[in-house]
Amino acid sequence: MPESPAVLARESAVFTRYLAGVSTTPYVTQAYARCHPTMPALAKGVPDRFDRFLVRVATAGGPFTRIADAYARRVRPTGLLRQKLVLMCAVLESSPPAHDYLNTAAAGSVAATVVRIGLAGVTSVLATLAGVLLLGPAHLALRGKGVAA
Amino acid sequence: MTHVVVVGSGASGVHFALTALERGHDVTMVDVGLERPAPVEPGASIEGMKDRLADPAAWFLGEDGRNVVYPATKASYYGFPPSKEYVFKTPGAFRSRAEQMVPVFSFAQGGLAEAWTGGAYAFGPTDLAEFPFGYDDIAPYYAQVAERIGVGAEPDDLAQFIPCDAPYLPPLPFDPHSAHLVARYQRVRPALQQDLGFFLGRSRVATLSRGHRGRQGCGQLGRCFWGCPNESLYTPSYTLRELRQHPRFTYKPGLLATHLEQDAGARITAVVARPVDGGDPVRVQGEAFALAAGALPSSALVLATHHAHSGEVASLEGLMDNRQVHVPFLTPAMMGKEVRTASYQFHLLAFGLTERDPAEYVHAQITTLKAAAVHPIVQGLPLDLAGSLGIFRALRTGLALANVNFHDRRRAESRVTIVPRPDGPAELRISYVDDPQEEALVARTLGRVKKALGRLGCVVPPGMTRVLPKGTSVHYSGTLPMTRSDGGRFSCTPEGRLRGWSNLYVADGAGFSFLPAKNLTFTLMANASRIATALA
Repeated sequence: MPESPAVLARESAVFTRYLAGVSTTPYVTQAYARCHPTMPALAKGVPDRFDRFLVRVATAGGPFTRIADAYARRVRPTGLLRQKLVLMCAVLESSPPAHDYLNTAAAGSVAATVVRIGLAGVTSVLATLAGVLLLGPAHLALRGKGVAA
Repeated sequence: MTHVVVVGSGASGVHFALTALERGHDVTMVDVGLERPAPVEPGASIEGMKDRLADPAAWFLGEDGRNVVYPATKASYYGFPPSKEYVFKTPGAFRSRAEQMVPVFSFAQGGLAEAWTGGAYAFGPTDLAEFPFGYDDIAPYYAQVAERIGVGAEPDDLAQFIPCDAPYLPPLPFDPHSAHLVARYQRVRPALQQDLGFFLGRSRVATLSRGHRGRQGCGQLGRCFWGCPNESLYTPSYTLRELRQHPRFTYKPGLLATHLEQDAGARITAVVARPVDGGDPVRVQGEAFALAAGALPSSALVLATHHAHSGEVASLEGLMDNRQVHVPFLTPAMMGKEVRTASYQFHLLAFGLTERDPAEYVHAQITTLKAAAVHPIVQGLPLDLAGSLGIFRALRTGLALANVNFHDRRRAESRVTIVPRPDGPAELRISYVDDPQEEALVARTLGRVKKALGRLGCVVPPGMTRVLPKGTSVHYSGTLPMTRSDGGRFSCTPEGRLRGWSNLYVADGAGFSFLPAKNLTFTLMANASRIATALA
């Protein structure tokens, strides 16, 4: 079943903020939506309950997006949420308003760069741990559940 | 003068045809001939395009996003953009099946070299030791092709492996990362050469550093991968355009050659081809015929011709292709620098590794990261995407890729054959068997590459080196080899004529007797031109 425009618009808003730190635009939302039919996770059928659960958590925004993404990177690296985020990344790097951000480097000294990398790594590890605590039980509960709504 | 029919418009076909025309022959070219789309926003840089295009996502990702590289859907660091899709489209009538190889075909005007990265390396005397001619025999044709297409090069530490005596143009300027690696190499050069047999120099590239024969010099737009709007990066379709201006050249696009007709005296009389849009087969007659459709399609044509005449299904041994290994690495000293996406995007450096057997020389090209598709890279990092983006942006100017190539030899186990079909062109069957000694060579070489990069101040992240499947390099060759002595009807004379026929020439890589680690495209062009001079 195709996802509704309102759901995709919400994802566009949240994921653009998450990946590029800016507000989405109608163009980004439209490009993001029109690319969905060729997304492998959707083209091969309806994703399972946990995949859809991860997307719903991520769409809540704020820290939930990062926690769901970090957890998905570990347990569903090719799942629906990761594919949606990769698609959004592809759209953002190809068009305004975020292509400049994604295609520039964080300038600074080597030492500052190392610190920046360390912080990003620590934040990601914390997000993964939060994912294990918050999403792990749901993952266990939904294990083996099919595609029922 | 002879009327020559050439099958295919790739690197071999266009230079064979141009030389034949220059020598007074009439030339007809039979080709499927898919056309490249016109360049959009020709003056814009890669980032400028994203601002100027009405629908940039469609241009970069495809209307429906089919060119997005999703996690685990492709074992690649990149997906070809929509602007290059025409290169890899295959007519429905063409069928092939492969084992232990992932072959790529092109039916575009200009062939597979429409998507090359410009590496133009002359084979040296050692590389040509198994060919039935020497470096002095082909050197004039390297010079001729270098003048036609424009190759930037200058003598350096690689000149002992890659002859540098053709009329080359000044090379492109280094990007800051490449310049840093060269400076570092100069400091540790003796040790790298003596301890590791590692030699660094410029890659020889068919990209213009200044205007040449009506094409513009590199404008540093950063659009190389998507298709150079300035035509600075050579592709064979430019020579095809030149050919089409010639009064004795006839271009017949839209035709998929299926076989050749021969008379009772083993003389080819016509190319038989099917219109790709449907309709009855057509016959294109001539006095001499040159196969330049690429090693695999040319092999299929020879096998189908043999089958049509004798009823026998034969096979051709000796298929070769370079093994490629991608080694991503990081130069910490370059982290945190300014990103210049508007700059030449492909490799500017190359390195060679010597082996005990000089023919087993290993060749690599270094591409420092400038403009690139970000999403295929960040999805592979082991963190959430926001964290991966942050780390990628921090590392970006320090990232680079070494594309390491290995030689291949003709072996009986790697072969092609056909399965005839009554309702269309024969199906091509390809069976490649890995050289059992290659794995050890690759492992040993990668150890040396990592040590050498370490001495250049670079770090190779564990787990990210990828041995690519055979077929990826698209350097297919060796199925109809040139030999000194008579190697049977499916071998070629030193002048490229197939011994089984009196007027059929092999102008492409099928005629190669050995495949060095260097990119073969420049030699394809030079050898095709050399063969064209042998026409009566």
